[in-house]
Amino acid sequence: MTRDKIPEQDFDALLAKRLRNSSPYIEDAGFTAHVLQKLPQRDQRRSRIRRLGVLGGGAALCAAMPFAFSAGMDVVRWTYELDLQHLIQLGLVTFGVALGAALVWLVRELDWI
Amino acid sequence: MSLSDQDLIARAVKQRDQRAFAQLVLRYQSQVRTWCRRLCNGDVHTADDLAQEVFIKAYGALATFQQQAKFSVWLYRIAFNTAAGKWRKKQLDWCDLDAAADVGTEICEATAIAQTGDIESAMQQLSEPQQIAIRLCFEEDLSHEEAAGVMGIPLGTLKTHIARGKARLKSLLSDWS
Repeated sequence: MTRDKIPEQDFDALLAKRLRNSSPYIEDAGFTAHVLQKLPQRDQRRSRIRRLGVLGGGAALCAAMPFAFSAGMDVVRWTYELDLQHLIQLGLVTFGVALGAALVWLVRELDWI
Repeated sequence: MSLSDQDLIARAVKQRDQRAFAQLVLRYQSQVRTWCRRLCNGDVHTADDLAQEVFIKAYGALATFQQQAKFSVWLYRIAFNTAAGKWRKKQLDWCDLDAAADVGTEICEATAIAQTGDIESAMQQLSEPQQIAIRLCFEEDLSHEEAAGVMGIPLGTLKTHIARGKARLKSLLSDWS
């Protein structure tokens, strides 16, 4: 078949057939990781602030240990004096707070809001 | 379950979620790197640098991406503009988009191409704007409007590149059927 005789549509179809998917898939091989390293590091900054917060909180807790110990003894004494009903109420409130926090985390993670 | 491009883009924009953006990079890296290799005349290292630049620019401009367009087309456009900028600064050996002249081919070379039906060799004989236009429309399956948008040229100019490129290919692949 000579070029003049090839209908335009057939030539287009042949061209598309020969060209499409002619390029092999390029494996990632660390490319995505390189791109992520070069992105503006907002998330890293946030996690650094979080880490500093945890460290600061830990340091404050250590510093407050001597005071906490004597206060803690009072709490223990107070707990012994609590009756079962109050203990259950305390447990329920703690459970509720934990559940609420877990739900908030889940909603944020799944992008529901 | 994998999220759609739209969902990943929304997460990356709203929450600056880099994991969502990483999914997009992973999804399109092969296409974009292939496209960049074409823009860099096959120079793999320069092309990968260009592709990284493309994704970094895309991340910065993600909020401006209009969801009715294809994400891949948008990335191609960024790649093309970035390459064009480098070409203008002579950082990249590249082409003149306005050049419409056909590239001369030795007769013996044309005969060899026709005998083997080697489309890649035939494509190499076209001017670069013609190659790019034909690849965008026939290899990447973009519409003429999308391809013109990627190349930043008027639709008429794109159609001219395609028509001339196809005529040249037909000539080179005259025994091809």
